[in-house]
Amino acid sequence: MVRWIQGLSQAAYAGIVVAVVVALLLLAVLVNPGERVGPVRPADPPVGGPGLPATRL
Amino acid sequence: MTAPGAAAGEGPPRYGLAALTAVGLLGVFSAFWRLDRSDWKLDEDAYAQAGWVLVHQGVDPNLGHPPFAKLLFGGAQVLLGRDLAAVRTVSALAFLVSMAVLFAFGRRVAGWWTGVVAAGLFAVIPRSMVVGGWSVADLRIDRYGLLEAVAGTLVLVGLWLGWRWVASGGWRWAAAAGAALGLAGASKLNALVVLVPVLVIGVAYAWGRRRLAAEAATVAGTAVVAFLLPFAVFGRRAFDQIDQTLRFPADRAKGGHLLVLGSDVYVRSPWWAHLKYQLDADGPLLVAALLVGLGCVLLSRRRLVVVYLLGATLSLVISAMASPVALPHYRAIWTAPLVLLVAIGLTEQVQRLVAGGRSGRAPAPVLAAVALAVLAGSGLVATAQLATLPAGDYRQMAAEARADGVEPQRILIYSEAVAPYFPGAVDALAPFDDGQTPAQLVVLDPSLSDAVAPETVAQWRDWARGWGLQPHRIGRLEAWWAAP
Repeated sequence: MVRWIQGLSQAAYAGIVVAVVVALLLLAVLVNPGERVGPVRPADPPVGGPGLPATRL
Repeated sequence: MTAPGAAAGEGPPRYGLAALTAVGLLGVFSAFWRLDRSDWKLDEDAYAQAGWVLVHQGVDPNLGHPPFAKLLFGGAQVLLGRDLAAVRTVSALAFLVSMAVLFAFGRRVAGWWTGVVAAGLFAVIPRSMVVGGWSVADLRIDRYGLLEAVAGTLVLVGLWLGWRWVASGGWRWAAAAGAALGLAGASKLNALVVLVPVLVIGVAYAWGRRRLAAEAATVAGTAVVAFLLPFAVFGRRAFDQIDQTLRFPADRAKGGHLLVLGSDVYVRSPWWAHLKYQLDADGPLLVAALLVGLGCVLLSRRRLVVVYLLGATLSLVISAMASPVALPHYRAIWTAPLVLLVAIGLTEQVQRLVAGGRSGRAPAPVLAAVALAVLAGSGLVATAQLATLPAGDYRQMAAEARADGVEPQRILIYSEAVAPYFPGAVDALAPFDDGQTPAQLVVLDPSLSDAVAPETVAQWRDWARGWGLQPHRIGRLEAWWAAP
């Protein structure tokens, strides 16, 4: 294994590493697409934004 | 096994000791300066409390995560006092250990300057947290009392010891590597994934060496023992706790975790979440410089250690990407090996540039020098920001409320921890509350509340009004209280 890695040409070595990284990334993409709920809908008025909610009397 | 061109054990070059000393001092500053100035984080408070209870009663109120890091946080509070500085001292010390190991590892595999660059970059590169456009942490995640601050250091130590085992063989290196990685897993479970590349790559590299199978078994065996040992604090309930810890990731994945990514809300974070977190927190220039470093490391002659470190870093990154729960501080667990890879790549190319000649004028050495300058520059700016780190929004909010005479017993939050600022108070998480029990203080943080429906926030505001509280804005926070 050691001699094989050290004996690869620069292009082959870099190509194999990049291919492994891409393959693992694709695996992550397939396994975990995520689950989107929807767009952010800030409160009215927004928390942390201008226009604090008035206190009712 | 040192690759051609490495300079294991070489003495310091000219100015080498001065550079190392400067990096060391910078590291102490980065680790400890204004350590407790930044606000408590919600998870940080949970781990601090869990650690205190673990040390005193052998019970863990923070269900799911393994106990080792929490035990350290608890032990620090026993020794240094029950406060934020004590908890974060554990992280600060782990930060310095990481720097020391980065220097030792970098020096062994690629020479003195690689070690100095690796330790120096780790000390200064900013790596904060941004959620939904809101900055939610100061400059470096590993300053906080989070599990990753401990697990990340132990992963690096395990990788360093693992490399010594791969290169030289021997029971002691094998056992030490296994122990470090086992303890890393006992701090944060996903750290155990690093065992796979250490064993696979280690065995592949050392194939045919005497006693290899037995030594590999030693790595695995000591990792298991070291993982299980901290659970002894639970006594007879140890097996239940281990079972709960092992089931926690799957249970948590089922429930999901509501978070804002960009302008959208996710209940299960997608594979690109950590990339988004890093880009938002570090900025495109810093990320580009890191990518140049990773590109340069592919050109490195030190292929064996590069493949080893890449394997370990990828195991952590890909397993995090594959998980539907992605929080912005998780990257602290792979930061150190990533920095070492970047240091190996950039230093080798810059040394070619310095040596001159035709190879020094190739694109890679020039790009590497630019990338290193960007990283160092970002680090210096971050260091200056650290020097003047102000009090956080939560600390200011608590000071204003106290100035109004507010002494809450119950605090309703959808925010970071607030109770630590008010002795005797407890935090109640708004999403799990029915509004029946009045709170004397309500705190909403948009980095969290932007993920819930506006009707839900309106309901929390109605509760606050019903309890006679008035709204205040402090920084990004909305806090409700009433002066008595």
